[in-house]
Amino acid sequence: MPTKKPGGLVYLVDDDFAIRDSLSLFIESTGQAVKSFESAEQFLQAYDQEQPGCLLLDVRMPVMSGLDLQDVLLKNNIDIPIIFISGHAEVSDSAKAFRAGAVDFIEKPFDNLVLLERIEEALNKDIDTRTEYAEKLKLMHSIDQLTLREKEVLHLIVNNCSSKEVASVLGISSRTVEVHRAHIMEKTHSESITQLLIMIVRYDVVTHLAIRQPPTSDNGH
Amino acid sequence: MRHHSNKDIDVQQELALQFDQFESPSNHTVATDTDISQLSAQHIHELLRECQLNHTELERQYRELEQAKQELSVSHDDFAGLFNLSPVSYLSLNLHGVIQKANLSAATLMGCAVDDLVGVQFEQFVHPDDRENSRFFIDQLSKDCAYTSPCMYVECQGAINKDQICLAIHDVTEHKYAQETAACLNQKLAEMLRKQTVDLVVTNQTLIQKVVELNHSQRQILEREEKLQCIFNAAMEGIITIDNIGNIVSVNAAVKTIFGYTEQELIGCHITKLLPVSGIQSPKKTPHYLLQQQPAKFTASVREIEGLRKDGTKLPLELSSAEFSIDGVSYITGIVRDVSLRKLHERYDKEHLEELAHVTRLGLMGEMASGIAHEVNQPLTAVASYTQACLNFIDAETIDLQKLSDILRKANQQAIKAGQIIHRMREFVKTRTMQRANVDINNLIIDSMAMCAADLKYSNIIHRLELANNLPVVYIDDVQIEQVLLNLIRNSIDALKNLPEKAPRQLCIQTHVDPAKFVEVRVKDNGPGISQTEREKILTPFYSTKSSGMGMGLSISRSLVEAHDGALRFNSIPGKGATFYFTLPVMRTAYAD
Repeated sequence: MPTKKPGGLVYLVDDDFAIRDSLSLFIESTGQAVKSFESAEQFLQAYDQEQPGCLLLDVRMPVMSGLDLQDVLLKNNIDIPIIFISGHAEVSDSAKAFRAGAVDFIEKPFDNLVLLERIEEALNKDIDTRTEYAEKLKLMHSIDQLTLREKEVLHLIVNNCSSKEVASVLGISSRTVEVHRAHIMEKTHSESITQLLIMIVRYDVVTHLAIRQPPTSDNGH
Repeated sequence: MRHHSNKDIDVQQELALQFDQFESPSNHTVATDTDISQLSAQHIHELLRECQLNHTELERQYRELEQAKQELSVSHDDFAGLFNLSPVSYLSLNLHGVIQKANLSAATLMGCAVDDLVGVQFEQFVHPDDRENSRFFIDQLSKDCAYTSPCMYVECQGAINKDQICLAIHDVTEHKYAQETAACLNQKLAEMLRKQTVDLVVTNQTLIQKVVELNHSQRQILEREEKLQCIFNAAMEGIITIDNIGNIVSVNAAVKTIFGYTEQELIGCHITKLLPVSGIQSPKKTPHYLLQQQPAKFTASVREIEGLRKDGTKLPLELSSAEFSIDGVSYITGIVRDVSLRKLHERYDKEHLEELAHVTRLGLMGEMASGIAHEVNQPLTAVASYTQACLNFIDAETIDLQKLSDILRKANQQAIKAGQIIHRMREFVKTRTMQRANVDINNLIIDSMAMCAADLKYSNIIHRLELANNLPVVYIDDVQIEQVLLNLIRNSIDALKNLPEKAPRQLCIQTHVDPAKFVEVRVKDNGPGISQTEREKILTPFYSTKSSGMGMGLSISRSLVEAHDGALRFNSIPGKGATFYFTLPVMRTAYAD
């Protein structure tokens, strides 16, 4: 029994009462908060996007199936980790679910402890995602604080140009480039230019800098 | 009368002339042959004597002639009398048709004197219409032909004599009148005869018609008799006729095949030889006058009895009989059918059906396996979760026994539920013979729907049960009827899966009891329906519209329903859906239970 509980809420959507009831009891018994819903529609009405959590979703349900719900969430940019539970596993269903970003696909009957692990993983993933998202927002915000020239310099550095090359492309002195670099570091609260580069690539904010195309090899020296 | 005398004169002259010719040669010969001056006395004497002799002879001849003349005169008078008084009219014409001579009768006939007739053209006395005819007649006579003229009122008979035509004219007026009358009578007679003939012809035709009809009927009767004889002997069924004390009168060929006895061995024997507990009762003693010619009447409907073969073995028979009477004697004809083969087939069919039903049930279970696995998985998953939850709660610092007990009870229920599904599935696929019991059809429908719950859910089918309350129980083999229900439900599910994904899919099961004491179950869907071409084949074995499946489902379902004395039918509007319905009879015994 894991003792460390990640924060967050487990959403359970299954039309079968026995499954809903027993799983809720089990998840509660581990100290994990759980909210169960009889249908996808009920879930959509009650879902709070601010609340970290994960979704335990039955694949087949009347009216709106689990896969349908996954589709709706995707379209609404709701990136909650989904663990599908199915009593009727079909490869096509699981493939479809994974393609659409499901974190797991568990067949009934399952080992409850395994399920619990997966729930924890999913919850952690959601928390990570949320953290990363917050950091990304922070980074993007700080990049927005840069001047146009600073953005140009950063963009060229991201594209693997040395200070000399940057100076050459922008038609400024190497020294001036160094000054811009210092300002960039300061504004993005970065300890080193390498750390900043890692952050940019990780959060995929390169496009955020794309003001001018990096020089091609013909243009450069 | 003057004319008469003229005529006489003519006749006399004629006679005289002839007499002269007769007399003269002898006289002349004497005068020319002798010259007296040159003759002697002796000779003269001789001559004289000869003369004397001749004279005597002549005198004698003269006397004879005188006598003859007298006789002739008498005869002439007779002739004249006869001529004039003859009832036949005589006319003599010349070649130009001018009258030369006529007798008194002719004068009377012509209506004028004899003298007035002479020198007159005969044609004047002929009717203008007949003149041509008479001219032609006379011309013919001139050409030397005897002829009888067809004059209106006279009959002429004529002959040519030198340049004179002699006509004998008969007054045939009376004869003519008589003839006319006769002709008239003849005509009437002919008319009557004609009528009579027509009547007779009509009668004859009617008779001929009747004869033809009779022949036809006779032929028909013969044909029918032959046919009946043929049927009698060709019939698969034994036909036995017995008299009023139960003795066998006649049997057909099939009796030998069925019982093994020849005809000779049976005629005169009592019916109990063949049918020990005969259902054929001897005709009752009915008053004679009632038995004259009673039409055959059925004494009983078809029923099953036991027969006895020659070899002593018993055989099941179906018997129908009819009673009739001829000439005051009543008979019974019984028709017996050997149903041992059919009984055997029935048993084989039943066994076969049971086997087939079992095999198809296995197939059906195979098709439903994943759905049923899901049905079992659900409660098992719940049990696992409930028990794990209990374990977790037990590990907690404070143990809430009430809560644990509640959870365990739920787990228990779920385990039982899973067990029931497994049990029903095993019952369903078990080899078994038909076992009928009183069953509430509504419960059976609910159970069957539970088996399909997963499929219904996964296929997004909205299902509805419209089950009538207070249905009488039906006396059925529940597994077999459940098989029928599952088949129909699954067919509907498969049909509904063919609808576009977002189209509403509906399945409805209804039950009701109809006044004819049948419980009817309807399985209704709004799927694509059944096309006209599918309709004809859909209930036949090995026909399937699905890519998987043997095509036995509906065929076996129908056989199973029919084995329960019910019927399975369907209705469909292509594009709107299909309804399959089957009936199950409500047994009175089942009612009583």
